[in-house]
Amino acid sequence: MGYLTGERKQVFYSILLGLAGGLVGVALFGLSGYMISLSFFEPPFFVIILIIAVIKLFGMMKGAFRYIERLLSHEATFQMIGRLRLNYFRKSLALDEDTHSARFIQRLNQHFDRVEDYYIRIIYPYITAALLTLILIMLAGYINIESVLLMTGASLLLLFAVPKLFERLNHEEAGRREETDSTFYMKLYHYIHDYTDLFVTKRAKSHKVKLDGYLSRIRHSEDRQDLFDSLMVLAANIIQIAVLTLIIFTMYREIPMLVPMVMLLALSYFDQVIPVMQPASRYRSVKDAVGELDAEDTTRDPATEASEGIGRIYIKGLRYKYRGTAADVLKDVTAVFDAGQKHALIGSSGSGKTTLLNSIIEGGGSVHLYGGDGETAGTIRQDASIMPQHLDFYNATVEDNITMFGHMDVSPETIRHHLETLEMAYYAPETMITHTGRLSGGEEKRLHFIRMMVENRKWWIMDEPTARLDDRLKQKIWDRVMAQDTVIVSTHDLSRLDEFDQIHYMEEGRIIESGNYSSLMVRGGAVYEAVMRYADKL
Amino acid sequence: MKINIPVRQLVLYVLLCLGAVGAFILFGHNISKVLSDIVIGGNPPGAADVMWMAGFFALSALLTFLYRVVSRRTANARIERLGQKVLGKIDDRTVKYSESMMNAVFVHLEKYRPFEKVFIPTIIQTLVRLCTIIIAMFFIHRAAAFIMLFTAPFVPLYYVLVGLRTADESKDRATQFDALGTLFLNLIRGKNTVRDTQSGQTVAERLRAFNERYVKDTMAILKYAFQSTLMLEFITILGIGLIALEVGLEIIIFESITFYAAFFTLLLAPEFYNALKVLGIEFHNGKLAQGHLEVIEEWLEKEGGETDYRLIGTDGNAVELKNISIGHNTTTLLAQTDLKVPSAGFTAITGPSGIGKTTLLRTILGLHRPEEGEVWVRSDDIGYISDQVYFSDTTIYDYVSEGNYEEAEVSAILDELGMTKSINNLDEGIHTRIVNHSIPLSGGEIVRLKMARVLIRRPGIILMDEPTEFLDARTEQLVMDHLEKLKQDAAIIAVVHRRQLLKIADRHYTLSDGRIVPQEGGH
Repeated sequence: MGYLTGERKQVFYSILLGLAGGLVGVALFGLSGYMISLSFFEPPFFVIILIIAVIKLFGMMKGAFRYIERLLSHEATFQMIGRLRLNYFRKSLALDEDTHSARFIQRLNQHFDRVEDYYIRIIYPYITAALLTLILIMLAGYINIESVLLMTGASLLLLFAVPKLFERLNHEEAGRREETDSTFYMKLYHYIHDYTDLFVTKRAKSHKVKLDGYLSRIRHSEDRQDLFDSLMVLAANIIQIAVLTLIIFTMYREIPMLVPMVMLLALSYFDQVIPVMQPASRYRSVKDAVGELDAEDTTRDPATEASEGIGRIYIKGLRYKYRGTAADVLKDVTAVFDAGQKHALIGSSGSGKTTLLNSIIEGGGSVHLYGGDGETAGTIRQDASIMPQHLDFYNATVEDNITMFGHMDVSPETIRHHLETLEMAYYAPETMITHTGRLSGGEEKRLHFIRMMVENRKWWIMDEPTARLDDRLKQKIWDRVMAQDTVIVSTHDLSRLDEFDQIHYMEEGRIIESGNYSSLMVRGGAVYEAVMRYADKL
Repeated sequence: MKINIPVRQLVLYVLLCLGAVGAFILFGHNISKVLSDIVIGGNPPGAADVMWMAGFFALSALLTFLYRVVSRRTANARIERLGQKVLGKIDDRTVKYSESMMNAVFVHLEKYRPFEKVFIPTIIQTLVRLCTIIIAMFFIHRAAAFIMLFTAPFVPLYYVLVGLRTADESKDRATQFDALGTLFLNLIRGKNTVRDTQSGQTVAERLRAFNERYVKDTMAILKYAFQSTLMLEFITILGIGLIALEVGLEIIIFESITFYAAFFTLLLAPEFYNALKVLGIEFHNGKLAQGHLEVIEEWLEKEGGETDYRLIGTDGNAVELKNISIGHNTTTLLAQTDLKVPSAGFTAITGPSGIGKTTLLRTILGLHRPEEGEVWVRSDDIGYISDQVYFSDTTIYDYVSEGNYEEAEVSAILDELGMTKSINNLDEGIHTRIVNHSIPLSGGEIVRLKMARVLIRRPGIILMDEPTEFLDARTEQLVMDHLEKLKQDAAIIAVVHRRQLLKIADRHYTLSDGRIVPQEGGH
């Protein structure tokens, strides 16, 4: 319930209305039962008419209550989800977790699906049913003590014992299912990405059979869940008939007139309570999901960044190791990047170029920034436009994507001009990017490049700016990059290497050669060899 | 909305439902008798009647339980088969749409599941209930049966007139909700760029505004949707009320109905109208679920997972392409051209990027069906060294051996490629794990690892895309020496990007104008 603090008003009214609707619904049935008993004992005619009128009125009221209550409960849920999302987004900005993993996103999505159920289908119907039960137990006091006991016993079984019993089973099953889903997800991902190799080595078929095995595990898991649900309804039905039989035996002697009423009342009560049981038995699994999303509020302000005017980045003895791996990706890297110079990082893939760029961006103990008055704390972000290895886009308009939802101030005309220059005039600033996955690699590069030009901070730090572009576009990008004073670029494309002021060659996590183009050519080391190889291209 | 279900199954479903509702009606019969005894007769309830009452209720519950279990199992099995079919569509092009494939399996299939599991069984169950109750009503209290017959059509009629529109609007809402959800997930996934551009505040503000607008829009649409439920409720109440009124009048004014019939009628009337309501609500849910089926069907309509088109068993040559045309969708890469590759020697293929060199290799591998012509290969035991590499969670040993070779054999081939020193530097040697595609080796070493995996099998035909990695001169010489030895008794067909490799080529072809043109320069 703590998750719904912001929606107190809606929650309160929706429960109130739900309860009223439930009561009226039960009363409706009770009244019609009372009516027929009464009718056979020749009451005044108007009494019957009055009862029928009340039944109708109750019916209408029930419908109207339900209508308003559904609106309120949905509004509460949507607002809750909106708030959870916002908090989660703010929180994730402060975390270093890699959110690019497909499985991470898929899990998050599942969690939010469950949260959608949390209030509408679990919390709220349960509270309403419990309150309805309490009121009916009190009313049963007017009949006799046996019916109070009967009602209490039945409702304890229905609302507490049975769901609790199945909750454990469901929770275990949900845990197993989660595990199956996770493994299946990874295996399928590997299968898709490794398919060519599997096909060529004639292993695709056997791998497909293994994947089918996961599908059948999912089927068995669903079968079990369904069996639990069905068993729960069966148990509830058995309790129901036991209660009905007991009502007859406890009441027929003293108050036979009321038996049909109580009977219909009980039937209607069970109709309202049984549907609550199944969602209630899922409470634990869903609560886990909500809990994972709604950890405590984090500080609103991001860590302070170094101010503008960074003149030098000095990296000293930098080591870097990915979590869970034994070997260092960067081994004792020392380098100086001065403002006003263009730096190139080259070397084979896996040599640590991207990791080095990321270390520069993220900062840390080995990365020292110097401004006008000595070393400053924080990171370079305030002073840099960055093109990371993995480019991010959002399903919003091209303009929102480029300006980061209006964070950068630029006219649509300027954006249109950039789009034209980079041969993407088929996009207008107001074009919606509905499926970010449909952007080609080259389109992503160019759109992000426009983002950088619009932002245009002093340092440009770029990972492979020309990859996946054709030669003409490559040169256009290089022309613009070279017009910049201060850049750090990691690249495989050596066509403009001679225009850089400083070239660093990386191999196995070390910078093994640094210098300007002409001195490195004279030296005839790794950079020279790479340039020769590049020139050998057909 | 069409429901595909085998006749045998349909009959089983209908029988189970008939049994369940039949037992419920018999329960109604007995409870009405018992109550009539108590209220009108003033007698204690007959033990036999009470037993029958409880027995029939339990039977009805048991049959309903059975129906649920059977129908859900069937549905889960159908979903499993659908899933298998979708997985069967995966081929080497799927990697470009991997996210969409993953979504089809993990999102759309799951969201379609309720259609098979809940919607179809509920529709059958409800229809059987409606028919049985109305027939039973004719025997219990005819007037009530007529009222039911008269009021029931209002529900479908209402749905045709009003409900269809709300159904469409609800679908819009679902799409809009999805879009907002996707934007949120995009933002989480793309948080690094938000961080880099320090636009966190702006973006959060936008997310909040989006959500507010969404809640406002949605609530407006939901009002319509819930209004239709409200109308259904009113129709239901009207029906039940009419029946109650009629029963009341008959009791008092006409005195023409027994207590038994009156109670029985009032017991069955809500069952009837609730069933009608369920039909209306399920109709709506069914529509939503079908949207997900459409996405799955898009995958099923795709070509893929097809059988091998290659002809195996040439007399002598490693590969023969006869009158072959290759293309992607509308573009033609090769048009009616031939290629013969003898059983040994190095064949180099060059040409500008995008002309179809890799597609040609894929055609020989059996991964790209040609539009016309025949692809002959001497055997389908072909090794392929691609210029891309994907390491699943594995170890160096597993990657190279694929479980078919001894440790010593793997070490030997790695040694031949000059990798012993760097492998020994790793903590766990050749059993070092490759996790998340991150491998503690240099680019040149990865290239050699890929080669080791193919070379250990000594296939008669080797296809390769020249690695674009930086190799140092020493490694490059080592690789070339190895290829030169290998080409003595294997056919190597390589897409070549640099002059260096042409030195060991026996034949050299260039792709141009849709033809495979022999070049001077092969040795």
